[in-house]
Amino acid sequence: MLDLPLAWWAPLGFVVYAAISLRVGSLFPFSKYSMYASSPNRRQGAVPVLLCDGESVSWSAYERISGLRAQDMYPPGLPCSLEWMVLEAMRWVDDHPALAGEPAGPVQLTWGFRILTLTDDHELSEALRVIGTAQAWPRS
Amino acid sequence: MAPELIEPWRHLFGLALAFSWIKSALLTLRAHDMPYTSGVRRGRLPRSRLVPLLGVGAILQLVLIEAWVLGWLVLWLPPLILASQGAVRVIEQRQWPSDHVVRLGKYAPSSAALLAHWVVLGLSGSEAAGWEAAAGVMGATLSLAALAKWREAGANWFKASGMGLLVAERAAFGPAPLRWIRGRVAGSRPLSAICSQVGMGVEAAGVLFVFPSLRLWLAGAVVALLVNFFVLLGYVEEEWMLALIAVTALSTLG
Repeated sequence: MLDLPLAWWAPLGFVVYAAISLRVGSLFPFSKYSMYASSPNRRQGAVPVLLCDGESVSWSAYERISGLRAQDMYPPGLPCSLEWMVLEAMRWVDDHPALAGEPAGPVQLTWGFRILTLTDDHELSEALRVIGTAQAWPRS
Repeated sequence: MAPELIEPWRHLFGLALAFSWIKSALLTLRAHDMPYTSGVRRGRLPRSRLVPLLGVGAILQLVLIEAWVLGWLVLWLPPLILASQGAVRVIEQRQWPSDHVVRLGKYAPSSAALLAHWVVLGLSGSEAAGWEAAAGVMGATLSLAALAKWREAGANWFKASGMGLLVAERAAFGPAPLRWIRGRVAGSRPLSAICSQVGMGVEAAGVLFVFPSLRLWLAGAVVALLVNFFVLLGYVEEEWMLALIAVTALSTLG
């Protein structure tokens, strides 16, 4: 048995866990805990948005989607910290294509990103960047 | 420490482990149902060949955790619990191409603390030493987060703009009161700067977790920070909060 003073174990646990984490990165149960670490380097943020008649809606309300390919939905280089929303939206579009030969759905959807810009004076401005449009059916 | 003092906190720690496993399982089963955007608890589970596998796995994991909480086979059960925690994460990550799930921040603080407790219990034969080591690991998870921020963005973390932008991006989502708060914080340079600096400071102070006399105070600050994460950014860090409270209690009571 290793007979160290009780007070030594916490610093030892700290140092060993931190050292292994820095060495191996994201290897369960270790991690560098770096989520969002670089986000303050951005001046812009891209917020994914799906619009129907100008209102924000969710992909999960629609199916049999046509006119928009999943691989075109996330242009490279967008400063997006909500990537999970984009990846899930891409998967949804991929999983719910229009049936072969059927007419395009009656609902017109617009997919894009709200580009938020924060100036040095902490002034927030917003612009919509449309990536594409799709036709879909309301989900039954 | 008297057993009646220890047991509730061991149960709380077990709850953190159980929560972690079940959340991974639900994210796996809902991988095609927009779980991160819409939540994992809504609606019926999809039909999937993984349902029986994860159902049996969940029961086994809960039995193993409860047995460990009750003090049975304390040197034999942790490797099984950790293997099961690792396995459910592998299954979860396989639902996505590339390293997407890893990049979504799949942290495992309760498993990290259990690993430390198990290793040190085996080395020293002392339950108290095991929980001291676990406390050190919990402190390291926080300080590593601060270190990563410093390495990747340096002094930019002390400016208002980074936090302001992060919060502004989330101001369009969630319940109306939270959207209102996020809008106010994002639009205010002083509030954004304070949130960023305090958050960085509390995480950096994780190293102080190695001192038992400071642990309770720091745990309170971290719990407040995790609540702040939920309010401003929308992330619920239940596992982290439960594990932190349990490890703090188990390493300082008695």
